[in-house]
Amino acid sequence: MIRKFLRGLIPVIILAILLVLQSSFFKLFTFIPTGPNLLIVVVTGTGFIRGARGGLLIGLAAGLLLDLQYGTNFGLYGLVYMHIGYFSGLMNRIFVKDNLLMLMSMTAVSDIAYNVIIYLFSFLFRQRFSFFNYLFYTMLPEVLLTLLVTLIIYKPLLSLNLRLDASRLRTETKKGEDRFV
Amino acid sequence: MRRGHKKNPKHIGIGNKSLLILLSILCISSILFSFVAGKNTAPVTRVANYVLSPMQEGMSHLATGLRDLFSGFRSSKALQEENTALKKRIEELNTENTTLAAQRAELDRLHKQLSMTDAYGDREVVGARVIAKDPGNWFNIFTINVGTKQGIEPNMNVVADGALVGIVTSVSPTSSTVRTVIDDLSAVSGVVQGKDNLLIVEGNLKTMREGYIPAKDIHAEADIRVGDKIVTSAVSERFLPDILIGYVTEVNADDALLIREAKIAPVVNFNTLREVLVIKELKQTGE
Repeated sequence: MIRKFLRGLIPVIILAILLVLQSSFFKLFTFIPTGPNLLIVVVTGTGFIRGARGGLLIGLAAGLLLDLQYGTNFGLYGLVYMHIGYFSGLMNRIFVKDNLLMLMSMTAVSDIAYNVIIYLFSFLFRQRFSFFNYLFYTMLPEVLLTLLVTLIIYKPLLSLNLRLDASRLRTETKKGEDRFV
Repeated sequence: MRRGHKKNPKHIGIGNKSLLILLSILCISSILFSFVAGKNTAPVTRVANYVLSPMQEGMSHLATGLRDLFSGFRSSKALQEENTALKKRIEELNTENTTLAAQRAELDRLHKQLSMTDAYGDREVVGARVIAKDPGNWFNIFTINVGTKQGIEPNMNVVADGALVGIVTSVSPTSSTVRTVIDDLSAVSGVVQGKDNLLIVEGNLKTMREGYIPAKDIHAEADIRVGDKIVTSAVSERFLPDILIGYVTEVNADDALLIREAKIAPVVNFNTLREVLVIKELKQTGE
């Protein structure tokens, strides 16, 4: 039981670390006008690896953490990231976990969807009509950088998760049950 | 059942899809609630901020340290040259300083005679550091390392370099969130300093890429020129009066309309902002 709890806690810790890293390090001290979205990387990656439920929950956690500090309407980021995690998780059943191309497509789609939703509800809602301007200067740079980060961060994330899975299987077989791994 | 699709025998609890729908409903109701009820610092918010803000502060300390470390790796020749130049500059500044001190004394005298106060004259201020920024790319909000423990409340004005930075939106015990004037959701009631032609200075993500924010609702007859100083007006609901916002860079006149627009270049450089001051005095709105 405790191990299961810990297994669920690790992604949340990674999430919190990355959020702090991005908001206190990258955003404060680099001068890139638009930066990658590390949270989408974590949420999509975890969803892809863990499945729909894991993705859903990590997405909700990510979204709520953002809502608490920087959200205007509480729950908006939670809603969006939760769905991103869920749909990434659905891909788990269809594709092999090692499928980097699929993960990157998923991340790209998630990031674009996320940005479009933010644009729709926070900008278009207030008559900021120049969609193409936002698309080109805000959304596209973010998506490209996020994809780059996915490329870099996927291997460690996958190996970490595999190690957690392996230890889980090891403890469960120790309980004396016969298991075909 | 689809062939090959087995139901996990250990599957207890609600299904994923139902969980998603349930949580979505909760989220949507939360969004609608906060949309209707307005901003509010719930206890949950406070707790999360309490946990996150020390991490953020630690992280920004680390980042500053790393940055200083890297900038320390400069050639000694460059450093010697810089040293000589700096010594010379110190001499010049010392002379300037003496003159300025004398002028400052006279200025203080005159101020007292006219009973004027400058931007934050004798109002109580709290110094704060920027410890985190909104990680997204759409908004311009940041977190500072002071909170209710230092007496910060929502709607307190935040300034830096004698000019307006933004306004406090939410507070937790050890940190607060500040929305800047250039944030897309921000709107400040302003006026040309010394005159009475009101305008609204709106933050705008798109225009900030070109370095300005729009000032709207300017009366067609208003006397406004390029180079004019824009300050917060006395009629603003949340902003203390006479705080510098920026300078007019362009005025657009449309003969057919009754209102004009202008472009304001903000004074504060939001990219390099590190330290700010929070004015503890809240705007009194006569009720």
